[in-house]
Amino acid sequence: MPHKLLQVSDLKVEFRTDDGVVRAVDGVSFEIEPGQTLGLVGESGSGKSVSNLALLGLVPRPPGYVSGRALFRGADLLTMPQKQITAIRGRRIAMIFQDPMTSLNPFLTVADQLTEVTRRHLGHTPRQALDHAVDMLTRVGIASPERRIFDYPHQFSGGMRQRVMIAMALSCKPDVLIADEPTTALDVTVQAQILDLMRELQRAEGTAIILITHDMGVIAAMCHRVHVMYAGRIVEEAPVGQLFAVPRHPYTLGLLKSIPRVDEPPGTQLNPIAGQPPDLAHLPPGCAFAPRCPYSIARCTQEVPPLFDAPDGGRFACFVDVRTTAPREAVCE
Amino acid sequence: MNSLPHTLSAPPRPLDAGPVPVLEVRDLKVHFPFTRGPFWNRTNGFVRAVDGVSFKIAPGETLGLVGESGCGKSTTARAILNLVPPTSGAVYLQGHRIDGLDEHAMRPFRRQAQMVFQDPFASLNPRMTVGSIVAEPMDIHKLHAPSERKLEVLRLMELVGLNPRFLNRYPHECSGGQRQRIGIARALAVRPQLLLCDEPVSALDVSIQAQVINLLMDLQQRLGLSLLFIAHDLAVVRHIARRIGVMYLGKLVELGPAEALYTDPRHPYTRALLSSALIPDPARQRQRIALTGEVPSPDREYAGCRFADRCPIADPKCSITSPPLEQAPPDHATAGVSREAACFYAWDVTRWAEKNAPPK
Repeated sequence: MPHKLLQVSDLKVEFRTDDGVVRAVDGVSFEIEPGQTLGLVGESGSGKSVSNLALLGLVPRPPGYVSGRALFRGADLLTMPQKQITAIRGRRIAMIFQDPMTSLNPFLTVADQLTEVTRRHLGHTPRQALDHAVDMLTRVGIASPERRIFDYPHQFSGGMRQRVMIAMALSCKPDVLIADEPTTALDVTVQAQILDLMRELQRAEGTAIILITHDMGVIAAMCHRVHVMYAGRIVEEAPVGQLFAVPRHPYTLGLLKSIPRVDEPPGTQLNPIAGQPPDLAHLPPGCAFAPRCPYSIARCTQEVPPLFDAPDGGRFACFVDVRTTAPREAVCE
Repeated sequence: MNSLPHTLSAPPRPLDAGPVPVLEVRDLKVHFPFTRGPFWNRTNGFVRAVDGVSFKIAPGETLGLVGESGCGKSTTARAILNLVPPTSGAVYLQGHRIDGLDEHAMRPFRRQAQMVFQDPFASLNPRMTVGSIVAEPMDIHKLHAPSERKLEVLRLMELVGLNPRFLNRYPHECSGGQRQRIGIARALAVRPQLLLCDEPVSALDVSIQAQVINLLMDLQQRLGLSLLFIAHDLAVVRHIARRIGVMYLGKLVELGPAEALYTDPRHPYTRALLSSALIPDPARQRQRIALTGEVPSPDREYAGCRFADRCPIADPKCSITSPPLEQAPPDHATAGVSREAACFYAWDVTRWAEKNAPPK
């Protein structure tokens, strides 16, 4: 049987801090095939970014300790020697970071930063690398790239810097692109341009995209399959249409009800999720969402719910059927 | 409020103009000089952050202000409260002209209008307890006797949904949503009539955003506040505001009731902006009006419409003359509510079809 492109199972990331052990990622599993877009959605601190940093060996140790398996074409990214992962990182699996202002080196020109990738991974000569870099900038829609390429990052606007980041990530034609909040720092019209660009490049190259975001609008527009994370765990996964139509975890349901939508009549009362996001160093013994959950039962506070299979192809980690149970009135702290 | 010595005269008002607006802004401009080149002391030009903005907010009303970064929406709010000095124009707070007042003369007006800032991590003094942060404005304005002060602080904390346990805690012990509640309690401490909220929820997690939006809407109803609500999130603004202004490069390009503006936008920029907003529902994706490029830098001087370069329906006239913000013709006006747009072709329905612009 051929190997899956990327198969992550039971990934755990712990940070040993003075406050005790913080389990940022707790048993996360997912897989992705070429041409697919997988969404990872969750709030700050839910472990969505850390789990992907861990895949690329970017979690510093100490204090971070990573366990589990992450098979990339059958080879485990978590146990392979440093030399091997450096050959994959940036070449086969590339990453776009959230903040284009801080993830480019302000002291180097865009040309320096773009050519470094291909010279290192593809063995390009300086001339080849520069031609390739100009070509990539053209593809991501930067006007007069042969001139702009010698500019420094501060001479570019936020949207252009994100395009440079995308050009850099895609210049070795990676198999997997991890995009960590790629449009969060951008304005809506620019966000739409960047998402179009990613979709177009995916269609042309068959790249698999892992899209990390907290924005349900981005998820709806981009993803095939979605994993919802809360406090380091996946609480629900489903094909995108199903997740929005029939959410099965109370957290997903709460998230969808709490966002205002441009296509709804104004003044509709929002239903926020009560309480505050959990403190990862002091998680409750049972389900981490139980203290905020309007559906919780006694069992939820004692036992962590495993992922149950939904009849229609998704999975969810909840003891209660939210479709047949009435929620309690929210009690806000 | 009648005997304030330093105020200039109120604007002339027709007798049938209804209640005095809580806030009136007339042709507000904020230009920042910039220097470039070897001579640091020479001004080479101006960044026209806000360039002629006018609007009114009625008592109890919420006006939303949307636009992309750099369009001048935050600078507008800051200039209203004199936190950056306006270059020209006039600001009237309940009929009193307040632009250009010095700090001393401004102080009584600061009681009437308060600001809620975007970043709850940067806008609270980390060395003060929650109680003293909320009490500080009362002390500055000498509002309560020391004996009543603590009770008032607790009342405010209850009002914004903060547990009294937080009274002696420091901001770093609170989450983002709780900090924003502290910021709101601080703003309400002087019992203002007007709150200027500058991106109050954009730094918060989605589940917490809804809590703060509901809180603001609830407070507005209970206290009869007027709100100027600034945000880049179109869905959030639509949710909270009855009337919305859209800004582009320092100018208001469209102003009208939320419902009409969102269902039938008239300025080409409003159309493009709204079509770019993502709908959190895979079953309801829609056609987008693609704009090329980004919001240009506001340091250029424009003779015509600032959007002309990127506009799908622009013609040569647009680059020569700047279209004023004009009332909709009678046949386009929404019943009884004024709608305005700054585009020569805003009400020309056929022009959209002719230019092959995608249907809304």
